[in-house]
Amino acid sequence: MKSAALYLPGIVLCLCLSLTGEALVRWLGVPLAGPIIGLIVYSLWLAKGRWINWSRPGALLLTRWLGAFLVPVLLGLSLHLGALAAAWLPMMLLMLVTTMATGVVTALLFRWLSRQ
Amino acid sequence: MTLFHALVSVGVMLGFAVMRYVSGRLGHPAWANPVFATALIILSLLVWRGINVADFQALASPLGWALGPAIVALAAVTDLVRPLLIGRARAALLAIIGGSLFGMGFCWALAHLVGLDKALVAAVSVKTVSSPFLIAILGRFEGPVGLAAALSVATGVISAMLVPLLLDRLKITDRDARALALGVSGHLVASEYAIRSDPARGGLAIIGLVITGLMAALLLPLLWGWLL
Repeated sequence: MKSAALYLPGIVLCLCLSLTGEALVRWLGVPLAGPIIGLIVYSLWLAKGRWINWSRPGALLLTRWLGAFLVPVLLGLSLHLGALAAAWLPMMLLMLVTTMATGVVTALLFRWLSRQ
Repeated sequence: MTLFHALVSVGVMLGFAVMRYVSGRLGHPAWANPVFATALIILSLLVWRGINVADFQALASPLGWALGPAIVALAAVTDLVRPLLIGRARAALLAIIGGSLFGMGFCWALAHLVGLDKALVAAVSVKTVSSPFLIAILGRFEGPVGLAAALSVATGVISAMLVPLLLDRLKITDRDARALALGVSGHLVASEYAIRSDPARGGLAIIGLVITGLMAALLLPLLWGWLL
């Protein structure tokens, strides 16, 4: 009961912000995901720091489960094996090379810019 | 939603919790990725029992609904890194913009170079963008949403498992640079790894993925016709 009171307000706030963001992007017709609008609003609210600390435990609990929510999306890759089969080797190499190169370029750029 | 939907979703969460516990016991090494390990175990079970992945995805749909609030909740992690950005915000912003432009451009160029078909070029060109962003962006162009979202999460797994090892080899030890690299190259899955392995810096990875996604949302509508 005590932990529900601790975590529930933050979870409900995140749900409300996600749904509000979704409604907003549909209404405005912008190519953004509703939860991202919610994330930006919540970030600004947290930065303001007024009457918001109650939401942190619930929000941090949700982030701990983020990986679990992505598992079904990753499994979706197996539904596209037919499309990928014809070009599996170039696709695999492309995925590996570009992902690692992007990470290294970002890290090197940040290190170089930080020293300027 | 039926009781069966709830049971399947809870089962995935339990599997993930076990894998995360094992990863934690091992000291959160990059190769012990709980998202990948859980997906692998579930896929093995589905193949063994002869269950269609699409049917499983439909049963696990409550997890998809929870993804939205979880993304909003990431703001609580980014808020923790605000003090780290004092004096380095400009460098972080430029590195994110530069890294993500490089990533998208490199993917697109390489996809054309190896002669992939149009649908695959479209899907891999946006793989540097986090799945919630690209679902919203590709939905507008009737692009290959399911394939692109799956490739985006697979990119996250590759990034979480290999980028830290590569950065170790290159002796890039700056924790801020490493977190940003994970966020830009591997968005949600790699950011989840960044939060687990370095909680004080994980928020930087989230900032990386959000700015990359915002850039894609601004640039792709302008470049889409030309890209394919």
